[in-house]
This record gives sequence, C-alpha cells and structure tokens, in this order.
Amino acid sequence: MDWHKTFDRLLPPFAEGKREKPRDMLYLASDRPPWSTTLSVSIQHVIVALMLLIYSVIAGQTMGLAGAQLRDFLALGMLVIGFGTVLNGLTTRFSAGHLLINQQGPLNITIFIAVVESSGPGAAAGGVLVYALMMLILGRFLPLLRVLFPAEVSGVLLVLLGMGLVPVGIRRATGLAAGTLNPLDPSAVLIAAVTLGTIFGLAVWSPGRARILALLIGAAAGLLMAVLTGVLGGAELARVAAQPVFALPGEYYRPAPPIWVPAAIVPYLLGSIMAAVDTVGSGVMIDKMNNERWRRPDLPMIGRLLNGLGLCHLLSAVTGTIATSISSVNLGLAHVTGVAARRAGVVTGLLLIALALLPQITAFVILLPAPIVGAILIYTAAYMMVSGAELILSRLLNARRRATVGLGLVAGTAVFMVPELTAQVPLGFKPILGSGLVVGVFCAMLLNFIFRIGVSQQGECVLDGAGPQAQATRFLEDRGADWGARREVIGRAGLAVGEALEALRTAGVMAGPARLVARFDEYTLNLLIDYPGQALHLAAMPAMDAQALLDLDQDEEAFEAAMATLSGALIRHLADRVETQEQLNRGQLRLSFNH
Amino acid sequence: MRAVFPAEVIGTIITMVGIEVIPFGVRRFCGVDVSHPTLDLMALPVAVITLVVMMSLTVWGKGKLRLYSALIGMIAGYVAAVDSGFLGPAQFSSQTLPKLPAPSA
Repeated sequence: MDWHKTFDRLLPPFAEGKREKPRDMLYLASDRPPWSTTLSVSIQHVIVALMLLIYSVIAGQTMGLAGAQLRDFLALGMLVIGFGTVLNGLTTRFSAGHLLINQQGPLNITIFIAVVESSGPGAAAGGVLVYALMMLILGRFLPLLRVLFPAEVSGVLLVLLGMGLVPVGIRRATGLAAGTLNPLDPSAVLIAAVTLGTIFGLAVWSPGRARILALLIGAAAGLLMAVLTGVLGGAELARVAAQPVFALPGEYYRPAPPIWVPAAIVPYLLGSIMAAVDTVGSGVMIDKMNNERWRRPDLPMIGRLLNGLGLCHLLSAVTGTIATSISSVNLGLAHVTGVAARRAGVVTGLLLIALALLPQITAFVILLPAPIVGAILIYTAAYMMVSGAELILSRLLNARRRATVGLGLVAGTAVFMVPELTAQVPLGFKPILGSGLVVGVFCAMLLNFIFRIGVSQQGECVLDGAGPQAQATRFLEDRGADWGARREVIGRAGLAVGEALEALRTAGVMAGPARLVARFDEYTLNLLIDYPGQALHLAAMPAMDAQALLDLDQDEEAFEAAMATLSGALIRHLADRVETQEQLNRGQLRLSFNH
Repeated sequence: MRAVFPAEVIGTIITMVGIEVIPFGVRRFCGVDVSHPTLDLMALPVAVITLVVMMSLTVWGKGKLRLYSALIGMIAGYVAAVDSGFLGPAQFSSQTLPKLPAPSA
C-alpha cells in the first residue's frame, strides 16, 4: 500500500495529543460537555464571531456594496467562516481538532480592499487562490521547522500577539478612533468597564459554573448599559427590521472569476507569512489552554490547521469573499468560559452556517455595541501576554536566550510604539515590515538560529570538588540553560544525580571521583554517572511502613540497607528510566528523563 | 508595603519600565523621529556595531571581557562614529573643556 504511505506523508492524519487538564479549564478538546453547556458556549462564540463581522461590513461598504448585495457578501463570508469553524473542530487531515473560530481578520480585510481597489475583485480572487496554495504548502512543511520554534520563540510570539490586540481592544472599549484626537466616549467606557468587570469577576470569583455564561452575562450587562446610555436605540433597531427574516445567499452578489495579476498575488504571498505566524500563535495558545504540561508547539496540529485554512481560502476565492484567519477574541472567550471542547466548535460552525440564512439576527448582533468586543479583546490580550511569559520562563535562560527573547520583544514592540519607523515602508511590504508581530518573531527566530552556533548537545564534568552534589547541580543548570531545557526537568535531574551520588557513597562502591556526562535533545535528557568501582544495585522498592523503619533504628546495618533501598526508589521515582552496569572495573549509572 | 508589592506587581513594573525606554532607544538607534521618518544611514551602522559588540561579548565573552561588555561596546561605537564621520571635529570644537564651578563671591 505504497500510495497510502505517500498520502500519509503528504497529508499526515489526525493524531490526538496527550493532555493534562489545567486547573482553570472545565472541558478540554476531546471532552464531551453536556449539550446544554455546549450550546450555551457555542451561542457565545457565535455572538463574538458575528460582532467581528463589523469589519467585513465596513470592507463591503468600501468596495461600494450596499443593500442586498452587501447582505449577500456577508452571508457568503459567514458560510465560509462556518465551514472553517466546523472543519477546525473535526478530526481530519485538514483539522486542528480544536475549538477555533474563523474570522475575516484585519490583515485579510486590508489586503482584500487594497487589491480590489487597485486591480478589481477578480484579481483579489486570484490572489486568494495563491494564498490558499501557500497555506497548504506551509501546512505541509511547518512540522519540519521545529528548530525555528523553541518554547521561548513561541512565548515571544504570544506576547506580541497579545500586545497587538491592546490598541484594537482599547479603541473599541473607549470609542477612540485611530489617528484622531476625539475625546473618550464615556458611554463606551462604561459599557466596556461593566462587561470587562463582569467577565473578570466571573472568571476570578465565579461560584461553580457561572463562568460558562460569562460572556452572555457580560454582554447582557453591557447591552443594558448601551440601552440606558442611548447607544442602542430605535434607529439601530429600525436598521435591523429593514433586513429580511430569511434569505438565501448568493442571489445578488456575484463573485468575479479569478484572474492572475502579479500586483494582487505579491501582497497575498507576503501576507501568507504573517498569516502563518499568526496561526502558529493561535495554535500554541489553544494547545497550551488544553494542556497543563505544555512542553513545545504541536507543529503537526498547527500544520493541519494551516491545511484547513488553505481549504477555506479556496472557498473564499470561489465565493469572492475575504479570506479567513483564526479569531483570537474567541480564544479569549474559550478561556473565560473554561470550555475548549471541539464539539462546541462544530456546533458554533453549524450555527454560523444556519445564521447566514437569517439576516435579521446577524444584523442585530453586528449592531451590538463595539465596547463589548473591546472588553473581551482586552481580556484576551492580557491572558495571551501572561501565557507568553509563562512559555518563555518554562525554559532555563542564559545570556543568549535572554538576548533572543529580549531583542525579539524590543524589535516587535518598537514597530508598535514608533510608527515613524515603518512610515516609509512601501505599501506592499506593510504586512511584513509594518507588523510588530512578524518583525519581533523573525528577529527572535534569527537570534535563536545564530545563538545555536557552537552549542554542543553533550556536556561532561568531573565531580572532584568538595561538594560533588552542588557541582553536579551547577553543571546541569549551566548546560540546561545552554540547551534551553525545561526548568522542571533540570531540577528533577539535579535531585536524582544528588541522590545517586549519595547512594554510591553510602554503598561504598565508588573508588574515585565520578564523571557526569549529559546529552540532550528536545525530547530526552540522558545522564551518565561513570566512576571507578562496582555497579550499584538499585533494589526495587519493597512496601515499607514508617514504623518498621523507625524500629530498625536499633539495628544500624539493617537501617543503612533500608535507606539504600529508599535512595533507589527515589532515584527511580525522579528519573524516567534507570540502568546500572559495570564495565572494566568502572561502574555506570544511566538516568534518562523525558523532556 | 510588602502586601502592595508582591513579585508579580514588581515584575509588571520592571516590564513597563523596560517597555517605556524602547521608543527612546529605538529612535536613537535608527536616527528617526516624527519630523525625520527616514532611517539615518549614518546613525544606524554605529548603533548596530555598538549593540553587536556588546551582545557578542555578553554571550560569548569570558571573564573580564564579559564584565566590561558595555564599556567595550561603547568604545567600539565611538570608534565607528569617528571613523564614519558621524562624530567629527565639528562636534568636539563646539564643546568647551570641563571647568570647576567658580566659587561665587
């Protein structure tokens, strides 16, 4: 069945990752929450997804669409978003298998409008087709690029992704617009404060499962404030009533057949790099949310996610709509509610597809006050930046890693904070050089690559000092920092080596100083303690009760023997694999740790 | 005040202090400001040389070299600035030599 293997290599099948539930989550990707929970969570994701459609409304209006045509343009977009969301929640070769909601994000909208205005909608469709191809190629090759995405680079990516959401969230929460000096809108601030207060209040102090409904409660509170402050009134509701209750999409907006225009393809090619970086960030975020013991980016999963986005782009090109990306706001919502079950993603997608036929409901949700989304954006930004910091600090840092993380963050932040830096960048390169996310992440990747030069994956040290235990711990910490090993693993290895040296000393089998050899790859840390003398026999731990151990106190020899057994048990407990052997009058103890 | 400043609050303060200096540093690094948004091709190489020397010594330097990485970086920057003409006699001649403050009567 060679073709089968080739197919598997080309499009790797779905594989479920091993997970441990974080304390602050209620349901993980593979869990099956009750239908009531699934439905209430899905409705909240639908509300957020529809509120984000406001960007697409503005994009449609900029393209000169109005009335039934604009409605159709939105409905077709919703069909693609719904399809993508369902796909993300399935367990196929094109799916992450996570609760991830698609959206027509700012990057894709900006490129789409620019291309439609300069070269027409057909050129945009052609560009989106190339974009789809790029995503499928990137999805295939991403898993091979593990070396480019160590934990600290992923952390920089999340911090910058969160940082990028801050201005968007703050503008929506305060009613301020970019580039203007209008004063704060007090009613917007009030709505956002009530929503954000409710969400954080429920997330922090919620008794039991009220947080599952955090957004609905927050949005209801925000909506009440909006009605009270007059932000939402008769005029807005009249616009909703003007929409038909039911409409089949595709009747009025006719997608243009794709044409190939280089001026349209180049921005999409460059945009795909930013989109891929952004998708890796979303993938890392949802993966970390699902796993207390997150260790490294699950690149095969993120590769499948990119494949899925590639399929969605094909649909976007065919329907003449804006390409989609993964919505970070919905990621924040998943964390607020504590539900990350993929089943909720599938239901959200199906609801979005159904709502594409019901324009009145869509119009109403789009009109919900922007400060509500602003509040969730602020929550998401805060959560993302802290998660990024956690990823960075999960590894031991040394001068090179500090430089990688620090300069990456400075480069990214500089683009956000010093607008004149990118003011002269040609429009075509804006998706890359004008994005703090891309500049910062690429800077961190480059430094990571440079600083890997000259770092040997093996280290050796002779433990001949006054305190061999302390010497071993120091050696492991220094090498661990060179390799960027996880703090927890190096700490455990230090304890195990200390315990082993103590056991060797107590057993009296060591006739001279030991040599500690450490070898590391991203998945295992192997230690070898090599010394002149005989092998240490680590007996398996017999059942032992504390009283019996205390009684042994009278008989010193038996007590020593019991303690040696205890040492052996501790070493076996700390390390994942232990082996002892003797060769040419040298004893060897091998300890292996999963990383 | 210990209750007011737990480690995470101090951490946030230090992060914000770091973030706050980024615009100042980056504007001087690239020689841009609001009125001159074009990268200053005289300033940039000097800044890059200073940073690379400093960083390389911190990462790969041993002992004393590492200890004085900032100082050596600055000296390298000065040499680069004079060599490239970014810093010339004009800048020096306009400065007077330091004087002790004259005691006022």
